[in-house]
Amino acid sequence: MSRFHTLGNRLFSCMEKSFNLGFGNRWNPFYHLGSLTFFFFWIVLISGIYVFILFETSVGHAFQSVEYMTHEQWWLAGVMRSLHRYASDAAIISIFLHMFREFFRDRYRGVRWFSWFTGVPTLWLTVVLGISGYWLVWDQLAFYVAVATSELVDWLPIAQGSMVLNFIGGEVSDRFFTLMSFLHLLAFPVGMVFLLWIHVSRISHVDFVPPFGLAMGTLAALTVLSLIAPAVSHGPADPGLAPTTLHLDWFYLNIYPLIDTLGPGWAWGLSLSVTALLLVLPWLPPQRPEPVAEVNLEACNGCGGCARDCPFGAASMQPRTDGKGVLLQSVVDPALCTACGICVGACGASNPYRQARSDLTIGIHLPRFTVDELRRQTDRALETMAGHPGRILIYGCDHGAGLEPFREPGVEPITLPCTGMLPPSFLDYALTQGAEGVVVTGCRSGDCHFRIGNRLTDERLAGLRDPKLFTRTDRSRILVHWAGAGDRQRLGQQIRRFRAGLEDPNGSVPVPEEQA
Amino acid sequence: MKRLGAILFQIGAYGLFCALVYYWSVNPGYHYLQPHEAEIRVAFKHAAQLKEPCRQRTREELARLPPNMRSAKECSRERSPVIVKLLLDGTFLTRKTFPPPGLHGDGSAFIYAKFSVPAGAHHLEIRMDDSLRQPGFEVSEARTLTLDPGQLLVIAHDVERQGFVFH
Repeated sequence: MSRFHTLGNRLFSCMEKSFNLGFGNRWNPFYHLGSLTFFFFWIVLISGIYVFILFETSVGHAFQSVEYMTHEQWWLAGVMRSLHRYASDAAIISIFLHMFREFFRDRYRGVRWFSWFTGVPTLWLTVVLGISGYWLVWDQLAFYVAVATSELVDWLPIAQGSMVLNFIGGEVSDRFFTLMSFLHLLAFPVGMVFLLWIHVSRISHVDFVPPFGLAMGTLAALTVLSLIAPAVSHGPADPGLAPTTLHLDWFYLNIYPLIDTLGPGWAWGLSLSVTALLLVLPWLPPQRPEPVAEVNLEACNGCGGCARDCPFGAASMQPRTDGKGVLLQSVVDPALCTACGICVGACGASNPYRQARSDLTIGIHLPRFTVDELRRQTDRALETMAGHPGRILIYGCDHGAGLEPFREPGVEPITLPCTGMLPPSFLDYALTQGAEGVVVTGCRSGDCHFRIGNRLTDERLAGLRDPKLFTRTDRSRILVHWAGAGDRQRLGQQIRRFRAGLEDPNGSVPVPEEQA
Repeated sequence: MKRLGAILFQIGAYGLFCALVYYWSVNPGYHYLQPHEAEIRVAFKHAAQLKEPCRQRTREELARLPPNMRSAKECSRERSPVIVKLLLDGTFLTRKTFPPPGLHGDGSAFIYAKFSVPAGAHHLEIRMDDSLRQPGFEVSEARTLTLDPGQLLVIAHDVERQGFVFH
């Protein structure tokens, strides 16, 4: 499994690296697959509302109304119909990429099981929603889908074969269209909103909207596709005709050939087996749990930084229980904590200048890597590099480019669980205690393993978010360069340039891209 | 130059994405039937005969029952399975047994089968046995008909006529 993860991770890293060159980190679609899916749903919703205005919900006129949209009012209704279809298809691509990416990045196990687990029924409902849309066109494909779906339902012991007889040898009524419209336009979408809400309910700082440029580029591309290759129907539904060649939408209708080939029983068996496998995947094998963040109530001043910045909503502020003057205290929910340490970086008391003669204790800490341990490592590194020219301290994370290869006389790396754990005051501390420069690195920008660690760090260093970097700190002696697992070479170049600039007092310190 | 490269990359990426969306939304074509084929579906529901014959209750049995339940006959609920045979030009297309549904096996059996056959003139014969108590097939019907390519022929049971309809 581990080798499989590594292989997939490398594949995604490679693709994402290429896309960073073309789109930049901010617009890289791989970093916004979830919000892109939301965006596709928005396109589907808006185009669907317009299509519904012109749609006739009756057996006799449904097909004609869709034909009118496609051929008569092609310039608007036709484009809307095509957008409705292509955005639905695009959503399936983004959902599967999102799923595979989270799987290969190992972000689906441990406390993160919930989002994965709830994503599976969401995927099912997406497919059911898509299939129900194909019924409404009432062309040959719709008839085929209706009959094959009925075969699937009739196979279940509870149905007892009552459904397919509505289509084979029976007469389809307008009531059927009312039912299908209700399901496709109201019941399934409402269910979808509910499931999506559950899907993201255990994370905070959710990006529901992709960056504007990416959203517009995607919308423009789908619109161009809709104009070049508009979605068209098959011939009108005819109960006396069996289809010969069908142009299936394989994103949604891939199960139907399976029903024809293997029978409904096998189709159910395979679908449910895959679903069951996906559902239990977070426990195959279970992730070794990391000790979660713990609140040190004596040192907690109720500032709320941890609750504000926690990417998973694990930290929250609740009424004080120890009778201290402040109203609130931090509380960590172990079931939600990923042990990233971002809360430690957000704690207002997380300052290495404090308690210089004793252990540094703050309101919240990570047992496996305390802020006191961070200060000790910083002190040790400063001591080791003392006397060397171009002394650089590198702060990085477990999931970005490996830092050990950069260790050399005068260069000392320190690896944190997440760079978001680094309080900005440590940069000032390192610079005043002997380092000539500090490098801050971690996962690629927009691709933090713990979702928003590098974004929070950027905002803290830019003074946009508490705790802020001191105004006195010389920013020219700080290099921020986000580098993922495949970016070690580039990070090395940046560090060498930075170091050379620091060693040359007359030369100007090169400004890296992220800071420019 | 770098910016132009990025723009070209984006155009290429969007183009590739749209090409994928379009291709998989209609391709490859799925051949449900070959162009020279037609389809036959047998589809109907049928309540078969009771598995056991009804039994006349004796005078003593009736006397033991409460007055409101003194029905002269005692019938079991379970129905016979329905056996359907379909022959095309004298050869078997299928011989299938459809059990009655329900906890007590007393529901109407759902008979459903589909076959693709070459288009053209055919002699079709369908037989149905719905009683375990009577040997042989009680209901049968034969037709010679011509199936057009892509035609869907549905065979259903006509309860009133005690025969089959082909439509």
